[in-house]
Amino acid sequence: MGQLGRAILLLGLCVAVYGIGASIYGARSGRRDWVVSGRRAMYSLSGLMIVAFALLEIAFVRNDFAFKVVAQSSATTIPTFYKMAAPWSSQQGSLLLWVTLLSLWSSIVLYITRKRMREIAPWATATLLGFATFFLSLAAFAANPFDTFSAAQTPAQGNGLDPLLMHPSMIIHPPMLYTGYTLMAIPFSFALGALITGKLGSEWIRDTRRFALAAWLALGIGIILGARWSYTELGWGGYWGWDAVENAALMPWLMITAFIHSIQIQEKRGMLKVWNVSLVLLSGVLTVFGTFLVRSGFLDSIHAFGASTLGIPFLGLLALMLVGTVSLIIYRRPELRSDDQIDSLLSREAMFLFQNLVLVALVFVIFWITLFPKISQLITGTQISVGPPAFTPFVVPLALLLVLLTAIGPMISWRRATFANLRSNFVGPVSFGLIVLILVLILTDAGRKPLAVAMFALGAFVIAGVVQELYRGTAARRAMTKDSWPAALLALVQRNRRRYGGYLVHVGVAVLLIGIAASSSFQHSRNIWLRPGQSVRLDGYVFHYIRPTETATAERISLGSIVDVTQNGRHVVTLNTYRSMYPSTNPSDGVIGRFFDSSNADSTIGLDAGPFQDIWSVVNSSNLTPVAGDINKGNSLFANYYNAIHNAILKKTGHDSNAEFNRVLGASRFYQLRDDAVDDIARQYTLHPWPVQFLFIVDPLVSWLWFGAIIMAFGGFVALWPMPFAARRRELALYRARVTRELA
Amino acid sequence: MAYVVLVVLLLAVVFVVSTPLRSPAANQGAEQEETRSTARRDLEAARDGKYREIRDAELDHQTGKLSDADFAAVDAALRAEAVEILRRLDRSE
Repeated sequence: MGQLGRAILLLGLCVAVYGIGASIYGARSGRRDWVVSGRRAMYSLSGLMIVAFALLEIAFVRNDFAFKVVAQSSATTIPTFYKMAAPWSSQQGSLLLWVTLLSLWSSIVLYITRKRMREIAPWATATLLGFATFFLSLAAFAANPFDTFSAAQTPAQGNGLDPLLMHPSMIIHPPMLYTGYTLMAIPFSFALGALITGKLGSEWIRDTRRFALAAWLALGIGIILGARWSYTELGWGGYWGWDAVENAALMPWLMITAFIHSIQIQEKRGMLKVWNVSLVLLSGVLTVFGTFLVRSGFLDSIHAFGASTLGIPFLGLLALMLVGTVSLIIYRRPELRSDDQIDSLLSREAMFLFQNLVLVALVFVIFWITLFPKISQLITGTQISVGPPAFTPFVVPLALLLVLLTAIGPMISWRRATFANLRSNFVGPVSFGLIVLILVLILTDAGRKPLAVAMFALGAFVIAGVVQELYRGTAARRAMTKDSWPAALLALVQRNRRRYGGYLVHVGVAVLLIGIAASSSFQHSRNIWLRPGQSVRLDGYVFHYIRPTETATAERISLGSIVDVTQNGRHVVTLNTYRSMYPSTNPSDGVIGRFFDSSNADSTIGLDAGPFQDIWSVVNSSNLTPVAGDINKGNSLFANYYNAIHNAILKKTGHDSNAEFNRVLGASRFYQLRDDAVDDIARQYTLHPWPVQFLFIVDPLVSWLWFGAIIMAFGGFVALWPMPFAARRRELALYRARVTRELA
Repeated sequence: MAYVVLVVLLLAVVFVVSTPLRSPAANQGAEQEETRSTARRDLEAARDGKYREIRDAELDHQTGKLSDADFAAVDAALRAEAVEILRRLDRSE
């Protein structure tokens, strides 16, 4: 199977290179047959990659440790559910997933656009196949997922999967993130095609907007799933650590957000053409930059694959992309001149432009601070570490400004806003924002964090603005159709999905940022060692450590705690948190000690999530010191037992027979006795009142973050979902009839 | 078995990729029938965009973001632009 996989990778590489040649030859010579053949090369590549990825999945599910990647990142004790997700935990498997998703999404997009953008599409096909060739070359020659051991070297057991990756989010988070990254290559490729051909009119913008929106949606969902994983799995109580790899995903997302907004100015007014094409190309470059950060080991991150030799090829690709795109933009400057100019600073165009500047400033700040450790090392020779506090002074004011512009944008009109228009549209939402501000200041002690309070007021301003828009739109529709309120609202959104989908996203952003502002400003936490029966008070709650718990299975040993939470003597919730240790494969840990490897462990939090606050707990460290003596004693006893059996067989048979050794081990109840010993030692944890280290957190409005993200995703789907064909035709017919009267 | 699978995949790829090249004339004829010129497509995209602008302006007017006078001016300008696009579309037929 390994040979077949390697051969498919090489075949895929040949197909991709052929497709590049066929597409470019077809585009330059005007031969449609070659263009179609090039496009079909992409379809073929996606078919080959699906087969290759299926082979890898089969190897993982069947525990085929002849595959180096399976031995490196799986084991027989891992649940099948997680074995299927294990391929993308490795550099090799994730590279294959990258190419598979890239070829799959590219095939779908090229199929959809096969009758459109006929001059641009071949260049886009060649660019997409160029990306595929790059990643396939890495997979085939630098990090091959189908590399195998010889039969003699094949291990009986794998190293296992990092426990932190055994989380439901990991099934969907990386594929979603890669979907976003690979979809990001599509607008980049079409923009490049438009620049190469000089076809910089309306058509490429119309289709590219949709692909950009799909990339924005997928990458956004991927980012938020990563945040959820961090919150529930990493055991530090946060959802965003400004880690280099998190930032690497956020930067292209912010950049494509700017593009989705500013592209509307080009559609409506023929302005900002250089800006738009630069944004979409920069989004593509930042995507590859993010992939470079994850795969090169350039910066330290819990999410990265560690040190590797892939950095140099990625730097080469980045240099090629930057030089190529900048040269093309300079070459096409005459065609990229604006058709119009901004009439007034009080207009939607101006607000979009300001919003774009804020988003680009955010990207610049994040880029600069993320790379600062490396930049400082280059200049001073010393790597200076920076953490979240370095980001806050810049990101918070920019985020506030962004929310303010998010509120103003939908309510201000195109071209020029009059005073009457401003008064009519802004009085209600601004008043609501001010009322929220006053209520928060009067009813809570939030005034000590003015920036958070400002975010609450601005968020309320955004939400009120959107509600007003929906109300007025629905009322106007009712006036025309006499529909009921719900029917009119539904029809309004259906007929203007893009506009109202976008407004829903704005509501989601406001809710999400309110959640972030509250949870990061008003969090209470306590790191403390407690014995059973002891309590600690935190933000009006009493956390009482009731008793320790212990569960031993073939997969893991979990040592945990039951914690009762009360407020003013009233029971609030009972939390169950535990730390699970997974058996190590290192023989030096000992026969018993390998089951108590605290470095190969993860924490399961005890969480009571509510609409207004989360009560969060984790066992940060299970105290194994009191049982260290028993573990060492067990290691020694079982090592002697093991060696005695081994020597007896050697004496009896005269040679080292693995089959005979395993038979005798089984018959002598070695494994049964070992498991009993492990159980007995683990049970000691529940029989003695040993102290345990806890982290307790009371965090307000965290749920708003997840809820806001759901609203954003829903809004994204609404905006992305195409209007039904029949409705679109009716719509077009309506306006055609109206406009053609002018022709008479 | 692996060799058989590989040969089948290779043949399938060659078949899929070479089909347009084996009958280029027929393929080009069909393509020409089913697709219109790039210039026309671009004009159609501009026309749809203009219709959307007109609709957005209407919605802005209905929701109070454009006064009657502003709407009349914007709407007239947009319709004039749409008419120009339709004329160019007619000429391209």
